[in-house]
Amino acid sequence: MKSTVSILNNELDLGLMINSYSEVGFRLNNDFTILGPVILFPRSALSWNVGSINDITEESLSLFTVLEPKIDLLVLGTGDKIEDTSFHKKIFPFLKKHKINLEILPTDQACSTFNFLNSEGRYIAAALIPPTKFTPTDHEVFDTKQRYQNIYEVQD
Amino acid sequence: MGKILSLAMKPIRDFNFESRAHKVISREKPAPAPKYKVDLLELERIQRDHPEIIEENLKKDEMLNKRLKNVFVDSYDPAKLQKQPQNPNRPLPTSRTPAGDFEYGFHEPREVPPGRVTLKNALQFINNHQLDPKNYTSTKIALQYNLPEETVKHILMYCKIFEMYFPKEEKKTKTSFFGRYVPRKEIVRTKLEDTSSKD
Repeated sequence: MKSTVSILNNELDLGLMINSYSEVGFRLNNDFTILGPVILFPRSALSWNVGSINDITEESLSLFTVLEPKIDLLVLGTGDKIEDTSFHKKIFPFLKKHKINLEILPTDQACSTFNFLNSEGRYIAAALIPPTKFTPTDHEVFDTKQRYQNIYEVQD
Repeated sequence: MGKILSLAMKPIRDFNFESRAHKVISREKPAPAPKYKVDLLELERIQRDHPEIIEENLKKDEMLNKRLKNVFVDSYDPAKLQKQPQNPNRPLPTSRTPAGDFEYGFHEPREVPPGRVTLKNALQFINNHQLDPKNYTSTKIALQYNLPEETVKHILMYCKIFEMYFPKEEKKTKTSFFGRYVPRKEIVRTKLEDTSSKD
């Protein structure tokens, strides 16, 4: 038996996907690093001028209310996990008014949700805020170092 | 062995074959092939029991002969296919190749209801406003795309186009080092036009 693995993020014709995230931003599968919060569409990205979850208001999501055709789903990455439901309560009337389907998730889960839905060819959007707390694994630290320098050399 | 024998016998077999062939061809009516024994027995039986059937079969049917003479088989070329006139309101597809991917990953409608905008146009006006905010004001955009001005203001406030920075490749020096040369990548800001000083 021969098993093969195909990695979604390596198939570029499926659209934009998020390879990794950190406190400063996101790395996409087309080798672009995005700094700060981002609005992602299947094949395009916009900078999102918000600071934290408190800035997510009706006004900051107004782009999604006027798009034609209406987006199937908006994935909202809140950064860190939110504990209470005050944010949900605040955003609920807005969703009902404009009939927008919304998925509120911590950013790490929002990234993978967006990747999967995008690979399925759905018309979705993601509005993501980088998390404030992020502890990388040793493997991730190694990968990052390898990307910028020869890890066997000592920097002056 | 068979082949040698047949080769040796060939001159004898072929002796006078042409005149023999002519003789056969020039016969008035060819001799019918011999019948199987079963068929012969059957024929004999019919002759014995119902001789009138054989008699009838041997007689020439004048009626049938006359009708057959009236039957003719003709052939014509097939009629040319007439081209159907095309309905301009419902044109038929001209290309049979599979449709490619959409530019933005989804189908963009041709007509947009008032108060809404396609992603392509939205990206366009956000970009225009960012490059030339004096010329592309929210009022103008709202008029052009038939959008509420308040929404346009919010979109322009919260959605921005990214500035692009590309890593600068280090130049190779003439000095040769021991060991493999590894070019370091470093993010450097590219020169951008300063629009603020012109205003």
